[in-house]
Amino acid sequence: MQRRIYKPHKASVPNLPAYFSELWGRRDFALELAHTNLRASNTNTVLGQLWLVLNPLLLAGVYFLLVVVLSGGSASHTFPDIAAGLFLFFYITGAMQACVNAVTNAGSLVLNMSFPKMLLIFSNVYVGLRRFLPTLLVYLVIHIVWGLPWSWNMLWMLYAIVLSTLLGLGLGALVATWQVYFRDTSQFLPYFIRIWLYASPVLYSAEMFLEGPIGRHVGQWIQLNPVFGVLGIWHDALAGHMPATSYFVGGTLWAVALAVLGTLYFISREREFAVRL
Amino acid sequence: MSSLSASDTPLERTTGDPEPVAHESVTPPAVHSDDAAVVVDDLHITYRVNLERKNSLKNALVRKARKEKVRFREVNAIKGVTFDVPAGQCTGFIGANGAGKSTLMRAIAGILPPTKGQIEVRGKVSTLLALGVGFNSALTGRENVMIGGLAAGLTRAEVTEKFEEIAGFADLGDFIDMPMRTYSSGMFSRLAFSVAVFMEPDILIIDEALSAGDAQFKQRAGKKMEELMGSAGTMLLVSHALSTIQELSDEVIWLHKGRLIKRGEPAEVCDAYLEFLKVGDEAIVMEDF
Repeated sequence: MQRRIYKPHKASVPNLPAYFSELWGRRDFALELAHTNLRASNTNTVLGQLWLVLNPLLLAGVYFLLVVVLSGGSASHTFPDIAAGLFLFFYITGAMQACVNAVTNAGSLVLNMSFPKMLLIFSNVYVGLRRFLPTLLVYLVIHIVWGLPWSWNMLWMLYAIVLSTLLGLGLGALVATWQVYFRDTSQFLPYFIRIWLYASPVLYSAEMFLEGPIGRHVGQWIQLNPVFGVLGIWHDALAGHMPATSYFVGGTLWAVALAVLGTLYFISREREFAVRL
Repeated sequence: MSSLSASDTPLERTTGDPEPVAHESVTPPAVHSDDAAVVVDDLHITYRVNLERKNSLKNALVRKARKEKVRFREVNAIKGVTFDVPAGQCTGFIGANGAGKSTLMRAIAGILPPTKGQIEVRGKVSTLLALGVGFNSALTGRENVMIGGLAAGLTRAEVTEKFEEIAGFADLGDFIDMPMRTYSSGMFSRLAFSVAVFMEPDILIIDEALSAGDAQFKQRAGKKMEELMGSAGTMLLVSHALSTIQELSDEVIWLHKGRLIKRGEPAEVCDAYLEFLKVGDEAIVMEDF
């Protein structure tokens, strides 16, 4: 027979193996929540999918016009580069934006059911992944249309996607927790994301930041940006190169650290959520 | 954090009426019984309610800049409660609004953490605290049965297996394949109730969720509840409908402002409660609206 003991706690982490085994037992619920979410927002209809693709594509066009055409920028950073970078960046930040209201919007669930709340985060990261996948296909079409070379090194893209998922998970857990305490977190988030976009090697390549005029004031500090390594791997893989070791080290460290810290922070606070909602 | 408190006296609903005196039936047991399904030991639950209009970072920063204190008060919802819930019977909980009944149920379900003391639960708990938890009104009834069942802790296969039974019990006809926003509120609660009762828990916690649907559905719901009691074994029931409580419970516990007042025979405890409330045994308080 199942036996549970509930004790007082102050921001403590529960028994993690038990927590994650319960979470695993509830995976069907997390998936169903995500599918519900996707169905309710028409993501599974043709027009819904089209919009998911069209929106980042149009944005890629706008930024291409801005940073390459209008500013007479370098020809080294092309439309496929900008589109690919934006798609991956929007995957990470899209997961964050899906997660930020994960707890506060699930009020009736949190108040009336006992379940590991990380389930809400996993569910929303999965929503982010499902919204990202169509854009990945669009990128492959762009890759073909531009006649870019194919290489086995492109498989490193998958590694970049894994790291991005970890980043989205960790940061999503952080912002979802803050949102419980400060309900305007979700309002600040878009501004933060916009600044982060400009400070990341998305619109400009990593080399332009490290060596070009664009990174004159930032210098080597740009490498401390959590997405620097991931985007480095992503762009190198797309160009058919073996990604640089520094990208692997930086990208992996940031992704694992943020995923672990974000998850632990969320779990340590989650039993307080019911009181705060 | 306690230095931030605006007032040290806890928030309470004071009516000026005399307080009930705890009966000897609620004296904490020296040893907890081994076959109890739920053991609550010196449980305290304190909430902190924020008095700010909006709980935002902007507000917090503005207050900090003005060197103002964050305003909040404490609510002692449960104040040192010790009792056992014996396995295999239905225990009813009664008490005035704000007595801490719902807080206690949520704590036993593992939703609210204790501030002090501990709760031990032996068995799989299912809660019926609110109807339609996890439902999404943009989706059809059929899809919501799945999400509601999974939310309640069933597996996908179990929900699929029980679907016909659930849909049959809710008896919504073609509406089962319509988006739930097209439902009347009665239809919504019929489906929600049906999803909730088709579980197989060891311990079932029900908080005021019995009144769903029209007279005919109520009758069926009542029958289903009796059936559930047979299979669930242990049931914790909160209701203001004293007739329902007396009918279903084997024992009743009366809570007042977070403390136990009396426990024992349903009729006896309900009478003491009614006497305290000075409302008399009229049909209006006995009925479930």
